[in-house]
Amino acid sequence: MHTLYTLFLLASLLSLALYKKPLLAQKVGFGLASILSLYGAVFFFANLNETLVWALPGNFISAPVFRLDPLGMFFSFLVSLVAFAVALFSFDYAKFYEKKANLAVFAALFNAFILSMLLVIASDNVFAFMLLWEVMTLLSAFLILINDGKNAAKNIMIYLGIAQIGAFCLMVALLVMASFAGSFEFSAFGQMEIGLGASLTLFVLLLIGLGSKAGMFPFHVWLPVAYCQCPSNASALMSGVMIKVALFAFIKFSLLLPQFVYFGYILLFMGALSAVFGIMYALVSNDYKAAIAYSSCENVGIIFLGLGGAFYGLGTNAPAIALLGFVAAFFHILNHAVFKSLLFMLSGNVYTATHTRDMDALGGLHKKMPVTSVLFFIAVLSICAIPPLNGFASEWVVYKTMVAGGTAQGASPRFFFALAIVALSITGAMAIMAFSKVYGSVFLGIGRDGKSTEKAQEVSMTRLVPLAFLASLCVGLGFFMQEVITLLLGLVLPLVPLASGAPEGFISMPLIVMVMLLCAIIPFVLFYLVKANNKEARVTDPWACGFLYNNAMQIGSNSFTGDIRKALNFLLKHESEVKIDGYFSKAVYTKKTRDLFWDKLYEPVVHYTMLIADKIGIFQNGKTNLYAAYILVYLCLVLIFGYYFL
Amino acid sequence: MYLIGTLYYGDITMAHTIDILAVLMMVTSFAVFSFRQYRHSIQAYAVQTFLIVLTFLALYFTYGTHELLVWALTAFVIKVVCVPLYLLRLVKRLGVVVEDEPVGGFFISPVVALSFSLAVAMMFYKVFINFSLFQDALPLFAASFIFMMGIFGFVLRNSFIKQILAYCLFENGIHLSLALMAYNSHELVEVGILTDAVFAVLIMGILAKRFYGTYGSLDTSKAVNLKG
Amino acid sequence: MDYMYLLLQLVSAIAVAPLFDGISRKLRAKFQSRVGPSVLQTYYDIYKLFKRGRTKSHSTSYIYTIAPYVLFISAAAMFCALPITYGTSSALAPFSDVFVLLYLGALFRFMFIVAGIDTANPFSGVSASREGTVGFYTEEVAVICLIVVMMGAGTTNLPAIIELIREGVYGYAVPSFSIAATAFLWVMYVETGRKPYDLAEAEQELQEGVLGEFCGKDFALIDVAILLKQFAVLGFFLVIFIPWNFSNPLLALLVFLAEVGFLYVLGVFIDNFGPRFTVNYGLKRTMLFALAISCTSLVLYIMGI
Repeated sequence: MHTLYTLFLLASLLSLALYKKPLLAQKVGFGLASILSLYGAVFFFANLNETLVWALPGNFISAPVFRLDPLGMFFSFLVSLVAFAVALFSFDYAKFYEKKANLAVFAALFNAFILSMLLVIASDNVFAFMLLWEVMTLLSAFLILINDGKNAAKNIMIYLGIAQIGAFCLMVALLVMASFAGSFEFSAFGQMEIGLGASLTLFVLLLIGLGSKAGMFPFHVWLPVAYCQCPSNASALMSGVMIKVALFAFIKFSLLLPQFVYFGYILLFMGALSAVFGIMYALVSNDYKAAIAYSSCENVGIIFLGLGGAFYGLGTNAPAIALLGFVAAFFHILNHAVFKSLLFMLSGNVYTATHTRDMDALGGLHKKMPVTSVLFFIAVLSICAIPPLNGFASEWVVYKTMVAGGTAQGASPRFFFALAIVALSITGAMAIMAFSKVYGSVFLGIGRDGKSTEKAQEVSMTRLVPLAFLASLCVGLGFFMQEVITLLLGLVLPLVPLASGAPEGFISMPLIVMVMLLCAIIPFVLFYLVKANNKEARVTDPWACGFLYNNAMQIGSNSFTGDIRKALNFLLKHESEVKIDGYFSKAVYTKKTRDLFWDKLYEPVVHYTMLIADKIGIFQNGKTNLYAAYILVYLCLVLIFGYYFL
Repeated sequence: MYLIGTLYYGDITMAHTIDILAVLMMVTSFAVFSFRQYRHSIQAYAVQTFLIVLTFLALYFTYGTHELLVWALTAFVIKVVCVPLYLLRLVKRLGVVVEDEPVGGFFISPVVALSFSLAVAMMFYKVFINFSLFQDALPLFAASFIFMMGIFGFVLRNSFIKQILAYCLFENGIHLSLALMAYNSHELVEVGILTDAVFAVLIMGILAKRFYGTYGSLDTSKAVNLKG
Repeated sequence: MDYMYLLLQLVSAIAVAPLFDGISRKLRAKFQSRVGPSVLQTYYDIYKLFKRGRTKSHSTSYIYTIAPYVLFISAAAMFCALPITYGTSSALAPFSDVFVLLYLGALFRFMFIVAGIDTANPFSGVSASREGTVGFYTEEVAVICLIVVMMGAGTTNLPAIIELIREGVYGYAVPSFSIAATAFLWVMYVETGRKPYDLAEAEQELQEGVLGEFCGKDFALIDVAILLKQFAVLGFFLVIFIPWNFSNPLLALLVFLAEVGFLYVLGVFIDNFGPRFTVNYGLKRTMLFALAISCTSLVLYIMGI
């Protein structure tokens, strides 16, 4: 596996070397990335049940070792698979950022980012892990910066700020765990003898640290901000893959702690909150990219629900539930990576065609971009968990875990699992509404604002091929649900001690497809029997109750969710503003929803930090004399301290 | 003949010589610090370094370690000749003659520096004497005094060139302390100090030119862009 | 063999549903002191629609073309998911799952909404929005009731649940089950889309406003699909909460169709006596009651009663 890592490093350096020729660098850099990722995907999948170890040669601090056990193999496979599709997509897509950044740098950052993620998954040592984690965060921040704009610096600061809080918690947790275990190697963390209090604190620290990177509520505020700012292929990679790396780290480290049932409860609760709040903000958003980003938060919530069931099973020694929970979580991780990256890349297509992210200005793009439209439809069906696609398959397994967990005796498991299922079903209902709105406002109907959709045209084949590949994966993973589950069971079995057999009683997706096909025959039989009128339909304007139809009469994205907005008024704070300039001119109506937790949680913290920083800032008055005096005072203090205390 | 004579009466007269040299060095360091004209300061600095060279030679005659001789020669060449010449040339190139207003004024700052340096040197030499090879109080006191004068020069004076001189001054103090406390160290240690002197002065000289070009004067209190 | 019975189940439902629809129309007319249409009127309506030509809006895309078929498929699949003519031993047993049914309903709703937006008709857009909102309100209540049943029985597979209820292991003896039954019936009534939640026969702006742009054989197909969905939804309630069943599939089918028809016609008593609720006020208020009842049953389940 070290060949793969070195090749990625070389690819990154090579693209950087082609600094002077950006377009060539784009082709070379992303082309190499896609070939290497394909090789990586095949390699990791072939070695799925093995463990590979590699030590970094040379005299580095703490002698880093890289180890890939089957869990790591699966995640590396996932990273490579998505990276392959995104790299192939960027082969043609990156040229839109030619004026904003040097494409050679873009390609180099891309390769380096994939490399850093693979190395994070493989790290076996606390220092190597933290170093590579920070490198990964920094590289993703640079990727966001490629799309430099008005608020770019502020958005990146928000992202980095939350990432740093997370890294701090993570570092503390890892160091405490290392001190308990007596060594800095993860493979030696094995069995730690710590009690409930310490274990719970470590778990919460890990959850905050890694959950904030994954986009768990309430640390999700950076998700829409960062994803809307960065170029679509970067957001596809970040959302599809970086989140999964965070989840991998979370699973890996939490499994090293002694298990208690409270872990499961915490995860179930946080997962439920993430799912509901995520999709709620997606529902009321008028920017399709923000909607997709919030939906990432929702899906991470669903994954945490699965993990909650798994940890509950581990904590109460119920191996069947634990197995189901892990299978559900991993299946959903796989599916989410596939359909989320697909959605982001498709939204990138739409953005480059229309240059606007406002859904109220789009519409009728299906006529201009038919293939993108069909692929988007498949992706939307997946994310809304509609049978027979893959979203439904993994959500069904999550439901099964919840039901299995909820049959237990005792009020607390019943309560938490019931809460989880309720949250999941509300999420399902809201997801349908959110995504039908996104799909409808962007692709269907007629263009609401004529200008944006005028120049749109279908994108080139090189951009559509990887998207079609991912869409076929969506369909395939759903159809071959049973085989995927068997594969994942093999992966998960070592994680659950005392596991006896494979769980049973799964639905059969081919059966569903068969029944649906059977039902599909009936209409045609009916038409034949009744001798229906099969003539072509006559084309005309939509019916507007006798008025002359115009484009503005359609439903738009803002009005579509108006009723639900009113219903959820207690949770969402929206500001609506109506400006009327006199009787004969147009009235302007704006409505904005602010993220509730931004105001309640983050604003006060930011405000107080700024206040304290302002007070401390007086020390820094800019004169070098004073700074030299500071050094002097410090030295004297250190000398006195050393003399008296040491 | 003279040499034999010095060897017999060597210890006592040498000790006195070194003491006299130490006092002279303290005076010159005060001079470097307080003179308003750059030319005078640089000349005082050259005198002081010459005094240090003489101290090295005295030590050599007392203890006979050949490293001291090498040090004396190299210090003479670089610090008495080259550095002051470079600084004089810099001053001439920039066309400045008189220093700008320091912190607290031309009268207060020397007084403050003097008193604080004396106080701190009092504390330090007691510590140094524990590990020094040369067990005489006054030169060690002088070394710490020069060092502290240099630092206060840095803290209290506003002009860039004066700060370079202050830097050289405390570097002199370090050099002297090294010679007094560990005079049989390897030549390479000397190289360390001299590299410091040469490169630091060169680089700071270039920066001074740039500074003068950007701000129009050598007053460092004008550069407050990084104010918090 | 199972597939033959399944086909029979589906075809007989398609054949019989319009009859019950006609009966309910006649009954409603009688309440309103009118003569009313003949009992077979719905058959005539559907037949007429098949023969008519079609008009479509110029903004439509492939969604408009496939919508009638997808709606029919999802409604028919929902109905097939009810284990009337088959049981736990059949090859079709894995198909009949609570969540499969719910999410096929989600497919139905999704397609409905998207078809509404596709035609660019202002009224169908509004009604698509309304359809989504109604779904949002009813989904949780239904799922809460179903949670009680599923967790009580320990499985999501419908035939398995029914068998447990029939054997008496789980059933009305458990209080949470009985209370869940009430709330569930209420929600299933809402899902059938009749007054006062929605007016099934009006055109503009209301739930069926989505269908404003559909005509001819498309519209006929959608009509049948909606009837099937209403039957599937009522059947969902029957299958879980009133599981009188027989092992002979044909007899089971007959009894089931009779029960569903009876419930459907009974709906007229609620349907006829008031106007439609507004979505923000009336719907929210009444659904809060249903939510309260289902939450009570959930709390009872959690406490172990």
